[in-house]
Amino acid sequence: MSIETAVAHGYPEPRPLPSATNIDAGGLTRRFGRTEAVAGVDLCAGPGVLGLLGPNGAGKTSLLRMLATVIPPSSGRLQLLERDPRIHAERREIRRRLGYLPQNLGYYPGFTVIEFVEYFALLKEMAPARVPAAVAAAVERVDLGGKARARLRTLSGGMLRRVGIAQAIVNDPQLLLLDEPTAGLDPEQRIAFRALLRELGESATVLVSTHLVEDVGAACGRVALMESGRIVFHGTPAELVARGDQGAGDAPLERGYSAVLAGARA
Amino acid sequence: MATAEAPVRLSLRAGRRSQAARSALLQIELRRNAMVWIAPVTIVLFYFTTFRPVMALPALWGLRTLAMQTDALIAFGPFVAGAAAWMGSREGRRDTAEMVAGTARARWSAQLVTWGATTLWALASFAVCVAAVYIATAIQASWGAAEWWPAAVDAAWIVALSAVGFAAGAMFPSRFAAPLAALITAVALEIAFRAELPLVPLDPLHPALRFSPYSLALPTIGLPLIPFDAGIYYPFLPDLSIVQTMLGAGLAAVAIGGLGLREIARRGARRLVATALALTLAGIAASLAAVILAGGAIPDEHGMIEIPALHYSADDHPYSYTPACNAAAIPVCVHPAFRGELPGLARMLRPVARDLAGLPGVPVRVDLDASANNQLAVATGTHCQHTRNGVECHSSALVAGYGAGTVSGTPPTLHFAFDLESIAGGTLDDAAVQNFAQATIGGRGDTARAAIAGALIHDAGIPLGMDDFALIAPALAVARRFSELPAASQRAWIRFHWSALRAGEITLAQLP
Repeated sequence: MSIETAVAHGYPEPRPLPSATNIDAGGLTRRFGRTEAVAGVDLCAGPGVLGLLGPNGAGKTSLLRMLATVIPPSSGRLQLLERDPRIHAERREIRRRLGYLPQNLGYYPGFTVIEFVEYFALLKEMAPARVPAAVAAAVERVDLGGKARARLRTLSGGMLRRVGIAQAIVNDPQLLLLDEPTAGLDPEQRIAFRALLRELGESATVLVSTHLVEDVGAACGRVALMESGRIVFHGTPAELVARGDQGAGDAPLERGYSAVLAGARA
Repeated sequence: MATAEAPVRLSLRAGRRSQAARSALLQIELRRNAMVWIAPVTIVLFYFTTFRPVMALPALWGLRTLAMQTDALIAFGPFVAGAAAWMGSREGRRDTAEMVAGTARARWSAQLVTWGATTLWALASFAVCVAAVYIATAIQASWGAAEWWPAAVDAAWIVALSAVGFAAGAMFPSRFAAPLAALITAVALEIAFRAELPLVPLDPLHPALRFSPYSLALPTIGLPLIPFDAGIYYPFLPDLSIVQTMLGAGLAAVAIGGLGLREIARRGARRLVATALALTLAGIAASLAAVILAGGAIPDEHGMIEIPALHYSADDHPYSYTPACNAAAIPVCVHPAFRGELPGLARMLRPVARDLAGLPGVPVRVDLDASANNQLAVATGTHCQHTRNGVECHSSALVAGYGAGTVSGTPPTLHFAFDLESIAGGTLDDAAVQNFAQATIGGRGDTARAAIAGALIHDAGIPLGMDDFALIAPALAVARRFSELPAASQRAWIRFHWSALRAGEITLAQLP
């Protein structure tokens, strides 16, 4: 399938790279003992939604954790929001402009939705005067306005995921890192979430790690595919679809995904 | 000028913003803190384990507050440590550590807010309990002012247990952190209390008792080492309380500072790491200083513990007071703090005084004095001294005259010091009568005098026993027979035979 055909099928048209480089990684590695989870990743990303695909154990979560400044890289170069996360003061500035939803979403059952999001807004060092309005806006954006005063222990798994997204976007981040954000969301919520991603991607760099290729197709302007700690494909969804002639799968993106993986493994 | 002021204004604004953020975080933590649920339990437990026993004691500030100091930790310690460990382990248990780690605020700073909220609730519930004890005592006490040091010691140790529990929970997060912290605290407090057990005056000839500086610096050392009338005749010496507070504060600083040292691994701000390091070192220094100071403790002449390095010499001067006396034939005078005991004492002494008042050598007044010596030493027949190993109490010859008064002065006055057991057990009146009869007539070795003394004691309503004044069976029978005589006959016989009786010239057979 050519790129033109892929675009004709509704996949977003490739856009030129934006000028601001919010993620700039070169030769990034991360080792856990003898295991090299991330083995030399080169990645540049500006505003827009970037989907991160890959099989289990490909190193997606480790890469996201490094980009979230939760763990330091073992080696390589990393600049986030044009700042060096190795320097404490700059790391703090990055974190103020960062939204992060980890794969395992933890929560405090006794907190209400509002309290939980407010708590993280304050931890992100937002100006206290801005917090109430920002919290209300974030809760509304994930469609939890009706449950704002509910205790987290009373919410369903999908609702909790949305609370996690709300805490990630409450500070209007310039860099938003979402690890499996749509896990547990019903189809209606996933559609709404994709729209939210597109909206956020207009001004921020949104990196979404997911196994759901249809989310990538619908919401991401660019896609990166990881295998064995390396990025084996970085392009637009249409370009990935175009690589899918020899791949297996029901949907064009799935075929592109499996074809690229098969090529990388070969 | 304007450009020079701009950074200052920005810095002030940032400081105010940071303060407001901390305040907002603290409000959330206060609302959603485990200690909110534990606080009512601790208050109820305090009521049963501390408030009721303390209120059963005479309304003396030193006595009640020292009893509260040792007992309150049983109610609060394990629960505070458990709740703090629960809150400290929250991020680990709830899997939020990853999310929190990706935020701008330093993890230690956020943890301090959580710990602060937990500790504030613990201190607030403790303050409610302390207020109840102090208000009740203020209403009941007839003399003196509130002793705040025992409450300060407990407050410091509640902060310490909260800090240690929180740090343990944060370092080893699991659902078992809280119950384990509570259990370990309960066992540790129990062990500390058991270190005191040899102090209980069960055996007057108990072998050497020794207190290490460590046990002296613990808050569980309280009443047994300090006389019950501390702060009544002489100022309450805060020396030991200062050391105990220092150790509590030191441990709290070590625990919280140690938690902050984890910022090194997190590549935290240098300023934060330096603060954590300084706090840890200050905590270690305070703890060591407390133990070293406790090692220099000596029992002072009024029965309290003196630490020379902390001692304030003005505390050695006795309080001036005007004794409260009744208007009986032989007046009884007590310190105003014991004014409430006067009516009972007067009632009990009346029959004895009626028969003996005015006779040669019979006291014209009864004075109840300070416990004078270390209560423990008096009660157990031991004496305490400072050694290289701390305060050591050794058995000595049984302290003759414990509970017995001495007659001295012109005109003769009976002085006797009463003990905690008699005043707390409501037997002070009995003790006064026995003291008076024994000191005045003196029954030891003379069965006739013992029988008369016994009869007078019996008249006062105290049942006679073989143990009283070495009354052998025949003397006991004579004493009972004498006490059955009409009061006028008794009085007449004693007055007529007083000189001969005192000289030991009357035998048991000559008694009516």
